[in-house]
Amino acid sequence: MDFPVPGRRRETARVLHDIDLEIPEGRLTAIVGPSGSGKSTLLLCIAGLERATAGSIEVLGTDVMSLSPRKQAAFRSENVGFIFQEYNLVSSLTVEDNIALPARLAGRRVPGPRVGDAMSRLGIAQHARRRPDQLSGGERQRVAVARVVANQPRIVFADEPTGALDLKSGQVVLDWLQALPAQGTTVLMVTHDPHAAARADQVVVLGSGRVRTVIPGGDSHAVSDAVLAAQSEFEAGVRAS
Amino acid sequence: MRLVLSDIRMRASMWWWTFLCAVVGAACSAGSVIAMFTAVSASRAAGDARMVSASIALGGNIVFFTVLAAVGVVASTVGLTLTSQRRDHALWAILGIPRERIRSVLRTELVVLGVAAGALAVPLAPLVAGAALDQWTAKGLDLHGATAGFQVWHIGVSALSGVVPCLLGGWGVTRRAARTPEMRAFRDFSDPPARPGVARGVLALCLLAGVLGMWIPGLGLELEGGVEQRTAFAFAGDLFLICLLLLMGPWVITPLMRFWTAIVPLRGVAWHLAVQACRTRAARSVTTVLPFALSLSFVGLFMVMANVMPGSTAALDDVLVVLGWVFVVSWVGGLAVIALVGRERTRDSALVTVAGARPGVVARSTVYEGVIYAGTAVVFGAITLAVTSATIAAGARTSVVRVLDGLPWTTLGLLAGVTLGTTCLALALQAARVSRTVAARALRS
Repeated sequence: MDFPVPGRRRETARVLHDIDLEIPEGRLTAIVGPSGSGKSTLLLCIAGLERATAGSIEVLGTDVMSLSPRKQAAFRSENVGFIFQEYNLVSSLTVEDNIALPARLAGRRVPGPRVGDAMSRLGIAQHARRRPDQLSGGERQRVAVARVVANQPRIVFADEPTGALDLKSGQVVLDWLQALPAQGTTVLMVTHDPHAAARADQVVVLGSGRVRTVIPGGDSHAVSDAVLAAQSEFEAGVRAS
Repeated sequence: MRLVLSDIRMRASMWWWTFLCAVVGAACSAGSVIAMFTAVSASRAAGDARMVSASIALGGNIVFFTVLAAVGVVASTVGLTLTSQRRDHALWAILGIPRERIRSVLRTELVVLGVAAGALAVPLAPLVAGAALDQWTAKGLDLHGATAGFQVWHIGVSALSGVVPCLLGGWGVTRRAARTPEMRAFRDFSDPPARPGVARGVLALCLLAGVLGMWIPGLGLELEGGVEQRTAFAFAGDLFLICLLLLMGPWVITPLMRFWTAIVPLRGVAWHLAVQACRTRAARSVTTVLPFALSLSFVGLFMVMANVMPGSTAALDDVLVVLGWVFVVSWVGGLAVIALVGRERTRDSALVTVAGARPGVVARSTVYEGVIYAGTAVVFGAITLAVTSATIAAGARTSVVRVLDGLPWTTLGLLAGVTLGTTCLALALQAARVSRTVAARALRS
């Protein structure tokens, strides 16, 4: 994956190299790594929001890079859910409308009871008519999770979903992300937090744009050690060059 | 002063639109003043007392309406520019800059802006004055060969025309900006429901008194001046009413927009997004609609008046003699506001794209916003047209049907179409810009 270097029109920087990765279906997979290692870029490439400059990406059996913008949009609205660290919600829509948006964009209606049920399960039913700027950060993130719960996408991409939350709100979001695979949903989560990553079934450790290792989840110390090792390798590389 | 200049430099892309409005407003206002004084002095030199009073009456009206439009438009753009910088102002307060200092910094910025706009208006104002004098002559005024050559006092008029609208329009806005709560720096607060405020309330009461004070003799009393005087009173009452409605824009235009968009039977997602965006950002929507509503309602009023006055015509070029510069100022202002608020759309558009919007949904929703703005301005214009027709007909002792029948509906329809075309085109250009933004990068920036 190459990006143009700001201010230098003809130069590009390669941020991801030789990625060969398989994400198991119906599981929670975490991507961890030091800052600038390419975690979010990898997630956005897989989601089809950034176009990789080489290689191929297959999601749910579909080569997302070969899809036209129209088909890509249809694929996303039917199969994909997103949770970002911030700015998850369309600011002019109410909580209810935000939850129903992906289905509406796909040309169908989410049944009202399902939206209501998702809001109740996430404890935000009382905010149904509020707009995002009237909610706290934790409540906004719960709305993003409720959107996923109500629309039941086959795959969820979460980019630092707990990065801006307090401990309790973060736990609520992680509990839900961990519960989604039980319904058959695949979850791919980028995080800095080793404890959050340890709740995944498998953890992909990135370092300077490459996959350094893939380890099973469950042990936050192992995740921390792997990330630190990736960072040390990167720093050693910088010193050597 | 260093903070003033660096702040203007930092926000140059936003201030640019306010500056453009200030330059156009200053050039049109100063040009109208120069035209009036040039015509008056030429008529005086020729000893033509009738033409002196005609020049003062016509020029005075033009100056009044043009300055009013310039102040309104500059106030709108200054308001939007400063509102978008509230987070910075809160941060200044956190860093220990006293609130009075923040206020004075912002007001100095406005003065700098006004002086620069005035300086640019110096060469433009004589051109405006020349065009106005040609227009007056073409309409049959004998101005005794008056021409708008450069004179030193033009510099002063241009500078004042640049600074006065900036300060008048920005005075209250800067006061509010300096009071921004510190927490605004850290959290996205929703705007509290707008309240009229003391100054606006007092002005509104004065205008209401003006409406009643003019309508009572115009519609209810027998006057010595007969029908003409009654009509003039009714006209003045209507003028006050339009000013009152525009002044109370947030409490008039917002419900109007809600009402007519609610009865439109469209149910597509693009229309839904556009309606919600316009309703949520009501202050932004009112600011966008206001310049177009102002020009449409003034045109309607003048056409109704011209229609009932014996011997006058209600053609567009007659109305443009008085309101031509108002049109220029309002249209530039309306487009500037659209350009200013366009920046807010990028993130929401990116989110809708990420959520799976088909190509074209975001663009359609953006253009629909233009339809909503233009539609609201047209509905506002239609309501004021109905009210002015009824009151002026009552003043002139004629039937409303006859007044409505004599109006140039094709011209009015054309104006509504131009309003619709302008707003939609401006927003379509923005939609094209937004469509080039990579959604993922917009969300990460």
